[in-house]
Amino acid sequence: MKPKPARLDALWTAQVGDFPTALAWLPNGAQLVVGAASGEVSVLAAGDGARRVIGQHENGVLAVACRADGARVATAGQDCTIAQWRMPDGEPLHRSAPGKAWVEHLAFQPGGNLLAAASAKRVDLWSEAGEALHGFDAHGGVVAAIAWDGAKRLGAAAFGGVWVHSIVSGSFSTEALPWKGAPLTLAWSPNGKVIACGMQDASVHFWRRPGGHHSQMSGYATKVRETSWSANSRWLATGGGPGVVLWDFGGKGPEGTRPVQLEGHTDRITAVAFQREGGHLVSGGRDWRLSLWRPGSTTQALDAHLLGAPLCAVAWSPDSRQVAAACENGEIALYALAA
Amino acid sequence: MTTSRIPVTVLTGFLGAGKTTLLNRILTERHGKRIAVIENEFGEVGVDQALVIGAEEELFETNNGCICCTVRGDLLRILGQLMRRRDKFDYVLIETTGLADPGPVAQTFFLDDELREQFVLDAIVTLVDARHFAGQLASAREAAEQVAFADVLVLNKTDLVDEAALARIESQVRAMNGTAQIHRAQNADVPIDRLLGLGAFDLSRALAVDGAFLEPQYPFEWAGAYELAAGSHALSAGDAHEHSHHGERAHDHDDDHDHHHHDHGGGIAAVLLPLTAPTREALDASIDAAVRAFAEPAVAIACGSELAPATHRYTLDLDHAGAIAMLKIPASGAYGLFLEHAPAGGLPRADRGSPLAVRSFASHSHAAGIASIGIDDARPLDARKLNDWLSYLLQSRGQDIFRMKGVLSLKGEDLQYVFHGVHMMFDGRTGRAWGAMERRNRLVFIGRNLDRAELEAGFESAVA
Repeated sequence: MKPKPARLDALWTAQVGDFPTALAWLPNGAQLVVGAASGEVSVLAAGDGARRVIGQHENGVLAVACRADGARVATAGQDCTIAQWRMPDGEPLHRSAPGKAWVEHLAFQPGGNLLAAASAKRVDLWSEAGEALHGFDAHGGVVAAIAWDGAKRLGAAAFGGVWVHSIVSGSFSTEALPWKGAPLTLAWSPNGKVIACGMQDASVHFWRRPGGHHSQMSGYATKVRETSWSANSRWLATGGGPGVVLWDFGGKGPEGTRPVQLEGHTDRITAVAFQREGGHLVSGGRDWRLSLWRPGSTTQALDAHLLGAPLCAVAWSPDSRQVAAACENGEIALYALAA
Repeated sequence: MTTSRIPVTVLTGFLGAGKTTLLNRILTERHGKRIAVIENEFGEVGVDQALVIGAEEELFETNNGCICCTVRGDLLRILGQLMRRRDKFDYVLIETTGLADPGPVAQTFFLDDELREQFVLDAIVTLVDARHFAGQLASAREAAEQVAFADVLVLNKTDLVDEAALARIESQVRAMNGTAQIHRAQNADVPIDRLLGLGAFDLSRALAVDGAFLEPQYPFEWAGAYELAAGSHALSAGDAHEHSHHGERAHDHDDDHDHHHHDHGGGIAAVLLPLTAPTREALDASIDAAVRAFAEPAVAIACGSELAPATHRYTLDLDHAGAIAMLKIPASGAYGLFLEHAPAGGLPRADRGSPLAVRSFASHSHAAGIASIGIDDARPLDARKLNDWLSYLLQSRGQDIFRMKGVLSLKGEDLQYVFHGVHMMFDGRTGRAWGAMERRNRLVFIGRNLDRAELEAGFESAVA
């Protein structure tokens, strides 16, 4: 008996009024937090898309992060501040101004209370009370991306490579993975064995862990700002052009192999995201299209929706049953996966 | 859905050249533009309502170390965010640090697809501190590169130097950059419409290659016309101190002389010729005779010796404080003095008399090996051969070519072919119809250690 192909069913659309610059789900899946170029921080109810503005970063929001327990949201922006909000009600807790540079990236420690915040060439760890606990400043340039691997390792990508910071019972250390290039993203494989970076020079660079064996995969049309791992750590999905490019880490590869290409978008891809559970992938593009894929079974899109403007972000809900898509015109659309 | 691209003007110049003054002037003027400013140098922008973003310059180099592939990471990040707010502004100004290399700035707008779709480089404006330029040129490679990359050169603080020094700087920067528009300014007071909205990188606008620059290079940089009575006249270096506004001027003067000595071993060539009148036109009419005289072996003369009108050149010691030479004039009339290098201080005087007319020619003392090389040739080119030559040229010399532009006449083509480039990036397309215009190829290359013979041979290989 052939199973029915999966599809995305539209649930609702909402408006945040300006270019959405950051999008994150609360861990309970009940709310979405959206930052916009206008500076507004909006909370959308997952049930019906009802929007509430909880605060503001003058000149634009740059990052949004949600804590694992769902009780805390952090935002940062071009006003060079980090704000923390209590959830679900969105009450402001505290705001810190670590310096004169933009705070561009935020990431809560998985299963913990630390907040990592990247600003210029630094990554600082902030306590729950909003105190700076430790700063890492060994990076070769302005930090372009940060990502945790569990609660004890934090990766930071900057010009010149990736720096892996370890936080073990109150002591801090750093391992450098040098490469003379400009990373734009950082994605740890869920099994922690590979760090992948999309690069400014239209390539993907990855390092195997532990150790530092690294490889470069090139051939992209443009810089690669979209990277996402499948839940089983087999596939790395990347953008960098009009096709989704999939590298298979399942066998001996991906070195020496040709990637799988998913064709269907007609303009540059701007976002890719694998489910955290399951094997579905969504991609969004400048062609206003949201596409659903099932890598490993077919290279054809299982479903596609045309939205109201070029897409700029996609995000699966924590239970992997819904997908939120953000468009440049401020439209946020929610879809349910029917599989 | 196509939207117009946002123009970006890049402001370069050494510390103290007046970048912040110019920036504040632009921001306060009523031009109706909403300008976003990216500042690498943290001067005081005194305009509250302006959107000003400060950032440290960051170079994204590639593994192969090629300067042609280097882009500016800070601009990628900031402009990447700005384009999400493009309803808030309609112009971008980038103020670089005094030591910035303009190459990666320009390349950022060509090499990154996303920025290229949203922004268009309008022009590179370089401020030159007229008072300190000579010293900066001698001490920092970047000063010369900023001049070489410019579409607009603002000679600022002209009130702090005299006319002769200004003419010398102008001739020097003209030799380095044959295509930039040059404006003189005292307090960065240049009209806004000469700085913004120029479309210097826009091939759809008429590409102007300054014909004057394409004049042949002469063995002299300066000529002055004097009205002299028969007899002897003491030729002396003009006294710069008389014109100076600041005591430090004398110090600058000394510096220049040291530099001069270093390059030329103490003597410069001079030719004295009779003129039909003490005018600029008469000087122009004598250029050929002067060129012939400069081709003859030099007669070195000691300070205070006689210098007569002749068809050969003399070697003078201009550093001497008093009389450099005695001009021996056989008959009263107009005479032209042609000098190998523009005078460093005031204008040379005959007795107490200043020249009645002066003429500057493109300098051939190229700072830091940077020069413009122009080609002006009427023979039509073969499109395929041209492509071969330019491809080879960019591959082999792209690192040394800062800017290039040209209007070309292709065989069998009714339209002009226009091109420009920065390092290895090349942009070319068909332009206007030639129509009644004279069909000529006009090309200019600005770069370091460029070889005129090599460029001319390459051009020759592309002739149909």
